[in-house]
Amino acid sequence: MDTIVQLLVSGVMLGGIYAVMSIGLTLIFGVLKIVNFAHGEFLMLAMYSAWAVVTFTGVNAYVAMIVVIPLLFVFGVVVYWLIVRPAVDKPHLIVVFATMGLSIAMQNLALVLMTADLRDIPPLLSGTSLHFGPLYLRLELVIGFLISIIVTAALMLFIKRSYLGKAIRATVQDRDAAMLMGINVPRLFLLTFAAGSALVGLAGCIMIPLYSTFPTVGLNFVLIAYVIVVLGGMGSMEGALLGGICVGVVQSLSGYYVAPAYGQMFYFLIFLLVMVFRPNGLLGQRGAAMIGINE
Amino acid sequence: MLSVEAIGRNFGALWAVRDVTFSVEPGEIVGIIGPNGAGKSTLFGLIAAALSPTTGAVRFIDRTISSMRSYEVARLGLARTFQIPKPFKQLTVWENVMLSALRRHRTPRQAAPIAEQAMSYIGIDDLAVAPIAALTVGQLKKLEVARALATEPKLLLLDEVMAGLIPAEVREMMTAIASLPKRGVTVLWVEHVMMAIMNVAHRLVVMHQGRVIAQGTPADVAKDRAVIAAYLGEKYAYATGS
Amino acid sequence: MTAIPGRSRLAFKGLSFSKAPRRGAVSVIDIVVLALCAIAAVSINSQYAGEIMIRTFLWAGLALAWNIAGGYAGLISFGHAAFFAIGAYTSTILLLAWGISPWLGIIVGALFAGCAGALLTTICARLRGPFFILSTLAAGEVTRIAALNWRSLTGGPEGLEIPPVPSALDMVFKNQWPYLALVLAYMVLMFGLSAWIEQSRYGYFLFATRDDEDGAAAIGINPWAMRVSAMALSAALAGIGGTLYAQYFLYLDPTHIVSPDISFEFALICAIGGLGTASGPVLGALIIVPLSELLRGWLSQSASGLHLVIYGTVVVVVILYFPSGISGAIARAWPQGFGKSFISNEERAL
Repeated sequence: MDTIVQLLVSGVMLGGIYAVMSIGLTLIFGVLKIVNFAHGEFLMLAMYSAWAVVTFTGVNAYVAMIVVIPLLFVFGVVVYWLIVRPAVDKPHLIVVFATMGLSIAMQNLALVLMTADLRDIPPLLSGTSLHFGPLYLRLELVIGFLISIIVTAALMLFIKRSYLGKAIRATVQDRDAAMLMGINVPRLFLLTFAAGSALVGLAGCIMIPLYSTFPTVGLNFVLIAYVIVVLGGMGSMEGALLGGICVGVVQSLSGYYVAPAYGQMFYFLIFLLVMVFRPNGLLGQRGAAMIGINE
Repeated sequence: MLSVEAIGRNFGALWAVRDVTFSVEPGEIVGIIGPNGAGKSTLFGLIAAALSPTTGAVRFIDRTISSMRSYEVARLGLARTFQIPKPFKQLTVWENVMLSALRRHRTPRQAAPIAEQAMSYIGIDDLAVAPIAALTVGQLKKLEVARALATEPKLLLLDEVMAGLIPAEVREMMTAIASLPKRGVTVLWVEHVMMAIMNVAHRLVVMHQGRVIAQGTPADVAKDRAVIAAYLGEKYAYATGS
Repeated sequence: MTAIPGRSRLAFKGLSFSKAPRRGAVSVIDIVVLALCAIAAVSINSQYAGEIMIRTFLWAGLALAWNIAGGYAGLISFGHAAFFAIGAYTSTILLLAWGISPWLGIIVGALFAGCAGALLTTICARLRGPFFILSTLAAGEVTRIAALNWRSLTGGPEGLEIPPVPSALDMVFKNQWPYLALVLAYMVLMFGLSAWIEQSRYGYFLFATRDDEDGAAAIGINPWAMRVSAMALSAALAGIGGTLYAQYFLYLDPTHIVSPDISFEFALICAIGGLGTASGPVLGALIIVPLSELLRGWLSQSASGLHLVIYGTVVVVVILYFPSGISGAIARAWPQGFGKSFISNEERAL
């Protein structure tokens, strides 16, 4: 019984972290209707940046956010100007292939500059675990989870309440109508893309204490992120949280009871099943999957 | 040829089409008119098998088509146009029409004459190699009709083909539609441009609030009190004293 | 419809029906390129050049196979490595376990891969755009994990090895020539099939389904059948490429052959060469594969991975500035000349 509780709790926590890693992807999809196929490499960049800040200044990973989040924001702006903006109104294939090219270039640039070695940072407080009754949880996991929950909640509140958030929701529903209502849609696209990228920066800082980074680290995580956003419904924040927790729990349970490799298989199969029976995800926009969006 | 039998369709509590019955005989041009929101487009969708009816059925040459898929209906010889043109955007005009002709003919070589005929009949043969992106609204509408004709249909369903055409194009299209029965094509036509449909249709079905309020020749329908009331309001109908 | 009064104004910008660019027309450039491939294949004398050429032709064939689904039917698949691997594993397992000749195994593999393609498209029948793409990616991953873990069938992460005992019956040869001939034939056949599809009734129906499903259904095309058949055909042909790969390299490494990277490679070759044309994937492969092999050779001393940085950057630039690929760019350079059959669908719409 204790084992199950332990697995469920750590699964949920892992899921929270997965959610924050995916939320940028789902935000960008919701507003721009594009899938950034270099999302994983953005995460790789964030993790390397966090690693570098921690290693060279000695601060802990959460302080490194001060540097990494703005860095990823600026990176998002640059990528938006160079690659996304010229392609955003073209058939979705153009963005797909262009971001895929970016992904290959970034992944291998990391290989050239950083080699294939695994990079990690020393554990916080020399690897203390937290004890809650029978539960043992890694300190980094708990902190990461709390930050994820706070950020996700704040973001949802922001989208619901603020003017910018309302503009975002309007654009998600109908881009042309939003434009007619006086929303500066191109600028909103830029902001959303950069904000999505900044969220990946945040995720990188939360994840670097838990995982090593290496040039292809993004691929492992981005596949999880795709599963999560599709599971939850592309464009839905609540969905990303729900999807993240589902995947976290499935991974944690199957990692213990079955081989970890089959755990992966499990969530890909869940993904395919969701696609068959609820193509818009658990909380997604109705019909989005059927029209495929933007051609 | 086509019989619509007590057909109805609701969206939640709203009945867009209710208890509509009429039929189309071979060689006829039947028009469906009615003010905005009368249920014309829903009725059109039901007949073209794009929507499934809640009640009733549509029969086409002795077969119930309301439960069929839209491509099966098309294969029976019932062609349709779309109100918002749906051309194949990455192909040329010529290839768009060819595609329709290929439905009944195995090879492009056999299909080519049919496509050429359909294009010149509608008057877009000079656009043969133009890309879709270069067409005006009027040309797209003509392409819709040409594509539908190239499937060599028995019954042609036209959905507001006159909308967006300039007067000269409207006259051309009227001539083309008027002589379709001579080519063996029966026409069922939903239209907003009254001048066109009043002059070309043999018979009109007038809809209002989801129901048929009048049927008959254009001249009879124009005098019908219920029709005038539907279009212009009760007061006007009373004032004209009909 | 019987005789319609003909008006003969068959001219648009000086072109008539008969002179309009014909889909599937094999242009002078195509012939020259393919002939050069054959000449190059016959005239090489180094092992290294031969290896590059085999890889190039094989990848050209595979990209052409991908293009049938991705280019003609608009079914962008990032899971084609799965079909490629199903072909490779099927023939290899048949050979290793029962001694069945790969000449037969190649057909069985193609059938299995085709069924997998049909199954995937059926499962994803309601999905479009990015949703479809991500589902194919997931299906590829499921296949990869299966290949890595189903030890009794696939040998797990160690992979499968075909004994290097030359035997024409087992499709294992001592030197490069037969392989070169095989992959060249594969490429030429795939090209011929693609060119035929482009101008055939079936090809037109695929284009229609890709561009507008409702419109296609309205003229009597069953869009579902088109999607499923195109993916099945594409997958089966990729499966054939898989067997050829297995027989040449004699070793199946699941981490490599079922990786998403392979699927991306097929897709990117088509995107760079020109999506939805028969010439595009050939041109794409002829440029990309040798170039990246050579770059890898030159740059590996200084920094491994640098060639892929260049490759990725080239992909971005080509996609953004030549959205219809190299073949589209050629067509633009000689709009009325012999390049005109290259004019891809994207380009026409501009």
